[in-house]
Amino acid sequence: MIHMSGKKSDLKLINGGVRLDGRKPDELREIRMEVGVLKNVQGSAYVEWGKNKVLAGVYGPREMHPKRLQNPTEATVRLTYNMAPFSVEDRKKPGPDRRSVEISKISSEALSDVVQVHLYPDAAIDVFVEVLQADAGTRCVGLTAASLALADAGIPMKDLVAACAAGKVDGEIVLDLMKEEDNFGECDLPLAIVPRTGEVVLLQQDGKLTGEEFNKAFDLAYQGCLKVYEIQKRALLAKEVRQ
Amino acid sequence: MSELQDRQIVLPGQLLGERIRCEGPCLREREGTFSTVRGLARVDKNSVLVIPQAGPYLPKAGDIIIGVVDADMGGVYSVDVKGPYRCILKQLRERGGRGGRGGRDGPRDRGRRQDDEEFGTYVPGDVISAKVAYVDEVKEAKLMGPRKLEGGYVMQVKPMKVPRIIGKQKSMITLIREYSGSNISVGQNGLIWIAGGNMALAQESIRMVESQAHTAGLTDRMTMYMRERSKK
Repeated sequence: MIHMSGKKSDLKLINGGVRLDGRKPDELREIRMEVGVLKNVQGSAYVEWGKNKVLAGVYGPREMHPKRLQNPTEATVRLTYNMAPFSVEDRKKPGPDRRSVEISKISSEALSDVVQVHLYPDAAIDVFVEVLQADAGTRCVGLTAASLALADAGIPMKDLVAACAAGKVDGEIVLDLMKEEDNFGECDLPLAIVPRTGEVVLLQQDGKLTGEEFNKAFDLAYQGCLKVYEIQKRALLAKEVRQ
Repeated sequence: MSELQDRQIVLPGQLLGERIRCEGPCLREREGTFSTVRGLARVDKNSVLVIPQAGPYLPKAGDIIIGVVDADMGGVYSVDVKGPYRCILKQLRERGGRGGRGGRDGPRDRGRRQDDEEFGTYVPGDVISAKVAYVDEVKEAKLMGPRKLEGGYVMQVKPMKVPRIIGKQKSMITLIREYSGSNISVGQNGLIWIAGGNMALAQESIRMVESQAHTAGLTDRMTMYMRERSKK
């Protein structure tokens, strides 16, 4: 087996149709969602997704600073994705890096598509996503938590954003990759959708897939997003929901 | 026609109905009308009212707000009302003008000087209560009739809970004022000024109303609670 970065591993990731953590190829990890967990923010959410632990908080809409970035026709959604230094096995150097700047950008754009930004010209809506523990798929978990936090803050949105990844591991298309599968698998395909309309607001691919494999992975990730959406809705109706 | 039940909690993206009239935060599309926030749906025949559970405060003409002066720009003050937009406080009539230049002191000038004294001067940090005169096209609100609130302290609640804190015909706020003996001024923007009396009790009871705003029979429960607390 070859790692996406070229590393080789002897680890067998799928044995007789069962993955390392006992899941079937089309099964999600255990998910727990809770909203309204922080006191001094307008809206917040906490999501545990397998071994991922992610906290999201929303401030705003509030005055945009620096003022030169104000958009007189709509609000600006700014998502800041940050991994805590202790969130991964080797200590991560604190502060923004290439990866977190990229995830912040794509997640901000995904959320801007659902938030009714035209209602708050000149304003900024700040979303902070803190990864407390990472185990692959944190951009999907972060986006799911951010969308819940926005709904908790009462910011008008046309729908929630639900995200989930699929990928290729040991030549097989699987849903919701965990860390070992992400590191030693062949491809990762994170997807975020607006479930009501079916619009895709985030789609990335890290690795190679044939056209047929891509379609299968996309469909699997789409179904995963719909399952995540149901848990999100339940979490907004109740305070805490476990799957 | 809406298939929702009255007082049902709706979520962003939830269908409210196909051919209905909707008030509050909702989105009309070809497939129907959808809620855009998490809120309580009040259904009445062909119309649905969505009352959001949370959300930012946007000033409306006629609102009484409480704010903190945060800048003095030469007689024009910028007021922070804890919303996305700052409010501007200035005397709405033109200063100077016809009587001013030659230093004449006619009856009109005396009247203006009296207005100036009533308007007062403010420094950053002052807490004021004022009425929103109008909101312009860039959502900047102009305030009028300012009143400086001295002493006491300011607490913040969710703006959506303010109508419940005030109550029907001010019943809830009168109850809290009566039992705590405090001076309480409630701003539509969610800032509440409390001074004198049992301020701790007033704050505690306002927090209680805020957290239980959606429940039925709250005024009766609050009356019992305030009676018990004031006996201690």
